[in-house]
Amino acid sequence: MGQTVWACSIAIFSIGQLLGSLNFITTTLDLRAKGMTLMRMPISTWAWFITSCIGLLAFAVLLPACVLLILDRVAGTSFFVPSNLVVSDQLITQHSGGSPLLWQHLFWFFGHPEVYIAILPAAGIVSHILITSYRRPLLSHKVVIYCMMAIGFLSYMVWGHHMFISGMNPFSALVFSFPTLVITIPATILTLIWIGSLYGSNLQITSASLFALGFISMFVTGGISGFFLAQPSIDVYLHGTYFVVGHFHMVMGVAAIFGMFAGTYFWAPKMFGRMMNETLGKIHFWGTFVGTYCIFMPFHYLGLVGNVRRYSAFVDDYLAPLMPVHKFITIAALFTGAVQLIFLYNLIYSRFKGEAAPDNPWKATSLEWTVTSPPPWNNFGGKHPVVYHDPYQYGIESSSGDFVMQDSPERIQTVRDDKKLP
Amino acid sequence: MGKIVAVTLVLITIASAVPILAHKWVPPDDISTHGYLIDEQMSDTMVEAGICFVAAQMILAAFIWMFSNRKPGDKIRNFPGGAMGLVIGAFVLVGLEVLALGFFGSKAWAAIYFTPPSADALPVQVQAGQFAFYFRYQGPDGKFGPIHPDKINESTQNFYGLDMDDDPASKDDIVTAEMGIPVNKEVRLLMHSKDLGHSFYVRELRIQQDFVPGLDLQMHFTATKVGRYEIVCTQLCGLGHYNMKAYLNVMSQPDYDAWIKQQASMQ
Repeated sequence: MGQTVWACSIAIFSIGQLLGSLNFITTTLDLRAKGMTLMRMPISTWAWFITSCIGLLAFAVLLPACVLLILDRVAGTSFFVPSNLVVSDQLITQHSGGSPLLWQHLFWFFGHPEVYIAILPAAGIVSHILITSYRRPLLSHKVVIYCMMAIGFLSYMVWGHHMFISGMNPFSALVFSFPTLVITIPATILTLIWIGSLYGSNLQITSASLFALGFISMFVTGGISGFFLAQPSIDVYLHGTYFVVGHFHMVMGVAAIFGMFAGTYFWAPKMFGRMMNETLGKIHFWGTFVGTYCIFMPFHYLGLVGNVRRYSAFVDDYLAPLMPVHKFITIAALFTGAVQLIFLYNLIYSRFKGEAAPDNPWKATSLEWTVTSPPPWNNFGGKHPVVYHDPYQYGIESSSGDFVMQDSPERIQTVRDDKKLP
Repeated sequence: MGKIVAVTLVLITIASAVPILAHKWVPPDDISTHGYLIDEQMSDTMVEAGICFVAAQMILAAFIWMFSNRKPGDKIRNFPGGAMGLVIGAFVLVGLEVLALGFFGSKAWAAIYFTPPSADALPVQVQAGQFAFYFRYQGPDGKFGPIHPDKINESTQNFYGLDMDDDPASKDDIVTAEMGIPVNKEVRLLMHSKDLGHSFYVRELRIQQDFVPGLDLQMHFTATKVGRYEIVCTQLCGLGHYNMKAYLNVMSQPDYDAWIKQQASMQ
């Protein structure tokens, strides 16, 4: 019963995601401000757009998969249940001929793109915040967008790397392994552009930029352990160990959450009209950053020794020498969890008692910073903004300082794609 | 603050790399004939991944150190080579690296999965169920008796659902809770699940394979070292999952012969 309710809720969730993705895609394509060409959209918006495209295709598979699962459970069908199973000495007679592997394929066809659904918005937010903190544009705005598209595209060809030892044909493991390794290339380009753009920049350290820089570090660390897991021969040993847990928590868990924290510190002033406390924000960053490494680096070591995951207790002899590592991880996890209370306090306290936020506290250029904090009704107070250039006009000399707002008609020196002024 | 970030990053990188360099936590010694391929692939990958990890974190730290406290007059500069240099660098360096890893990794995979077992390999059947493994040997007739799922009964210890009365091939089958095998003899493992998904993992053998309900899967391996090793389940199969295990007992040929005789007498 509980499992059926769970499957139904996932199905409803899929419908919500599908409609949400459609809404986001159509809004992005149809309802942009005057002069806002696609290439003038902030990278964060691009990331949401690409994520929505991935979500539309991924949840379109999860929804029917869930429907089939529910039918298996309540309507007596056998999509996923084979015959001759014996549970508690009872032969299951009402099912025959289904394939559990089919379920795994359907689930992971959704499941892998879902990983990028989690990480791409964070990558977009981080790119946007990094540019604002570097006070300069990225080395290439377009390459970042194309890399995100490439990651989204490749995400549909690699689901089998979750199933190397699942009993599928061993030849297909090689087919899934190569595109998985190829994803390294756009991911490396993204990282190199984030780090390369830092060179020669005028980095401003704020809570938001600290979390954005932390994101890069996590993304690299978590991404590199993917080298191991993408190879079926190594996966034979590491599959089902803590190495996998360390890998995905670093890259799609903590990195994505760092993106969320960065975004919260960055946009909270705009949302609530009050600044968050920077000192508390920085303490939160230090605790989270160091704590996270203390939790998830040891996971990799445990995995290398072959410590299996999904165990509620260790009754083995061979895992006994590893118990101190587990204790260390537990203490680090409790510490990191406690540090999040600082964030919670900061968020709630600042919401009501924080310093009043100016319209544009970070000297950013995108449209949301042209309106009051919090924004007026209808976001722009009934007016229609006009956009004259892309949102990454930093590191220049203009009447407003080292940046030019997107809606400022001011002519600027570093014209990149302003040939078609409205 | 920027300099503290940089120093912290360097310290974290060093702290992360030291246990790897010191070989503090390493896989247990390999006891299989194919495992060295996996181990070599793993250490090659470790070298490449380690270089990437340390280089990326150190460069990030260096740039944060250099550019977080600039004076008002300092001009914005571009990274030499710009985006195009980085894109080409990523394609050439990382592309070549992952292709190399992919190719060599495929060789190790092929050695395990694409080579058939030899004809005289010892067939051992393993059945996974909540929360135990049971092993079956053919006995003197060299045949496994057919399985009747409706006859499976834990209370009468008929774990495989064998029909001792009507199936002559079943009569000499030997069912055990521990997996005994002779050393340096190829074993053909015939795997099936009784109820739901499980997995067969022996770290020392460098083998891990899921059990899939409804599928009969095969593995083959040769153990090269006498000893007792743990076989554990790595797929979450229920509340008793953490305790689902069996022992792999690798014995010399005379010890194995004695062991299988003793098991046969206990049936």
